[in-house]
Amino acid sequence: MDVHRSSKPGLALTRIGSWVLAVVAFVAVLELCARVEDRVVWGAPMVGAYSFDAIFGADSIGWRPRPGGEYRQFSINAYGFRGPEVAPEPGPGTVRVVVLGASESFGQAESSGSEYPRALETTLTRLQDDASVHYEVLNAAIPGMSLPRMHEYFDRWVRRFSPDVAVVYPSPGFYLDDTPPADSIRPRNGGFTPPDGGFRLRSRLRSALAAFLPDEIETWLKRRGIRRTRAGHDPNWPWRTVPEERLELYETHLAELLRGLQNAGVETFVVTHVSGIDRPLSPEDESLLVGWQRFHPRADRHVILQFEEEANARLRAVAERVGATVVDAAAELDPEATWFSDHQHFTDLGAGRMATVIAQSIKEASVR
Amino acid sequence: MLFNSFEFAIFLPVVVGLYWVLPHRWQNRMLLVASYVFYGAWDWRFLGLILLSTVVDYTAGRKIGYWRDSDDPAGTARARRWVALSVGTNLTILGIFKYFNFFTASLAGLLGSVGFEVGDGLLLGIVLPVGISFYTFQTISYSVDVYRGELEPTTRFADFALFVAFFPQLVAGPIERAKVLLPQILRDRQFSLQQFVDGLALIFWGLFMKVFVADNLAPIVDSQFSDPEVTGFGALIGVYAFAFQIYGDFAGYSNVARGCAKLLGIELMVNFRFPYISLNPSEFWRRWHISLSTWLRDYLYIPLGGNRAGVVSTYRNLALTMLLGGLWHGATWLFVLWGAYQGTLLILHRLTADHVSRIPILGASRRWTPAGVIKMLLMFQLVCVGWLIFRGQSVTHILGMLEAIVTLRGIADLSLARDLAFYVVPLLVIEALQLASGREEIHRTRHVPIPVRSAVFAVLTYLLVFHGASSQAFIYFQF
Repeated sequence: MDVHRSSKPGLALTRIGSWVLAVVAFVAVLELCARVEDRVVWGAPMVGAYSFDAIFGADSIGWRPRPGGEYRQFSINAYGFRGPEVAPEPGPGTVRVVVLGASESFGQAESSGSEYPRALETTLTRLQDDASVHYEVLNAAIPGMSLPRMHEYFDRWVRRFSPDVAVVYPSPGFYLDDTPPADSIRPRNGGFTPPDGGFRLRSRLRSALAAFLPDEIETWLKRRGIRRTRAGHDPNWPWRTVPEERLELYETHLAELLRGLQNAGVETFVVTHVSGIDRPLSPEDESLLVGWQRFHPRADRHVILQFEEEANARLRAVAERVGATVVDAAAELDPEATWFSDHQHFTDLGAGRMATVIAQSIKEASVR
Repeated sequence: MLFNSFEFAIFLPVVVGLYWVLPHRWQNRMLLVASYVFYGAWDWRFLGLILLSTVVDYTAGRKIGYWRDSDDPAGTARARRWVALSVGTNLTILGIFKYFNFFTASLAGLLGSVGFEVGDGLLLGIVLPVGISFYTFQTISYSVDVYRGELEPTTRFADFALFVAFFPQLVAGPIERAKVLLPQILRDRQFSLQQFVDGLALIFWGLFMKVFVADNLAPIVDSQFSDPEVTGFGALIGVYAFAFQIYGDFAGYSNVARGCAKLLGIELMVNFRFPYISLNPSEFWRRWHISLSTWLRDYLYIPLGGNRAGVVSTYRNLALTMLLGGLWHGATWLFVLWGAYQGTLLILHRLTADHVSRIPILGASRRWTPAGVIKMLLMFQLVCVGWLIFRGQSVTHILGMLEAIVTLRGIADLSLARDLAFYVVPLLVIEALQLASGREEIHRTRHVPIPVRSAVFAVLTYLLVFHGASSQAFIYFQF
């Protein structure tokens, strides 16, 4: 009888133990599956960090892509530029083009080699009449890169590669952040620190959940997030009209960058910003716009669109003032749904179209 | 509302949660409303058809029961008339909504071939109501079973309406028998944790079969069946892929249906038992779409005389049953052809069974021997010829694909085989484990240590969540 009684807690403990083991085994096997898949499909290491964030880090130059970083379709060369390896100096007969921009230029949703800077290289070569001239495009874009940071990054690092041409594709949206863009790319003494490892499942789960949720729910969640952010601030915090001081700042930073590039002897092309949102707004455009507003909750939705237009107008004016060539992508690219993966990032098709528009401008300017 | 949709992921927990806090009578009423909501989410207008079928069969059932048990000498005849009314009403609904255009178009074609042009004026612009073939057959079985004395007519209309519209199996089966499902609806149900967990496991496995296996194979099948220049290898892979697509799709649906019913304390019949391990056509039909094949056996083949009236009648009955079984799948001549092919296989099997049993390999009767495995693979090829007819777009198209396979036309694209293997091997591995353990159901795995079970479920979860295709309608909804 006593033995029987004492065995009950033991049995319960065994059961609890085996269930705990089951949960641990479940999670561990899920994580293992993720790592095996990364290994088989992308050749990723089984251990260590492997994520989009892990291909970036900070060294003495600042926050930038890690040289040699690899994640899925993203390959970083030895100098920290997305794309194939390049020589420090352009070879004879080579026109070196450098693209400065943020995530739209770095390439987010495009398949490998389809991001517009890569497509630009191919298109420029195709449009070129003189076979002795070779175009080489360095993708010096970094996600989240504002104009002052581009400027600093160019001065600290990119100009060493002796570019002949610079294509600047600024994102005006950063000027609608609560804090205006800072002029530091956060250099760090010493080399890169190893990236953090962590679970590879997390980002996969997030994407899977987003894919499973109907668009209406996803949009509702975004709206709720925006409302909550706004509720945590003063009622006067949101911008109901375009903030003039931010437009001024954008203009100032752009002018400084373009002058800096020209002072460095680089022929400069500056591209107006395009978005995937058409007007009048369709329900799909409306939900895209809510997705955009999530990054800039301080601005009303119409303010975001208006700011984009006015920033493009300022861009044209600045370019004229400093003698840079305007590539009017906003006028050339209709917001066709097939060209954008979200409110502003390109699909392969959109990137191809963008590359063609820029390449034609460069060709018309006869850069050789 | 698809089982593999976000809406259903909300709908099911709400229904199950409400269900177990309500008393029995209210459980049934709530389930009835939920079932109508589930069906109405496709097209609320077709609820009228379900209601019509429900009212007619409920009334017929009561009348049949009354006359069946009466001492009136004309009672049996009157009961039979009510059966005829019930069967006639259901077949009329089916005939108008599913077959009217088919027969009028066929007639117009026939008349056109002899010089009488009829045009499209006879065709009705109607949409096929989802699941119509399933619930009409289910209610026919009720009237017939009451007439046969195998079941007492129910006096509770709402409970009968729930039997007709029970949402887990309303649109794609299993086609439940009234004598199995109705008593479960009528009696008080007790919550069982084990049954609940089993239900969740079945839902999970059903979704895996549908979302990972079937929906991922769909693009492979579509690309090969729509390619006018399909290679022999591509055609073969396309047919094999379709064999597993339709299995994953339909067996997956049945598993989710059974799992949902279990969450509500109700047991539905097993609809598929590893059909591709069959050794002969007869066994295949004991393993494939069991609820339809047994329905056809009990309500068509046996009433036609079955195998009781001599060899020729048996073959005629078999052929007729399979032809109608083919037509049940859809109103096209290709489904009739498929039914004819299946009927021919069954007849040939009966005709040659004695001779074949003396031939090495073909005569193998034990499955898990080298000869048995070869026989199984040969049977699978015969089944696949059937699937080629089933999925083909025309006789010319089917013959073209067959020719491509036989003549090994073109260069093999091995990546197709790799993709097919990626989506089919996990299914085969799990089914092999089930067969090896002697437990034929995914939820009967309690003999496996919990951590091992957990690891296997983790792999399946990974494939389902991260490699599941986006939601597609179930193939059998169109039938």
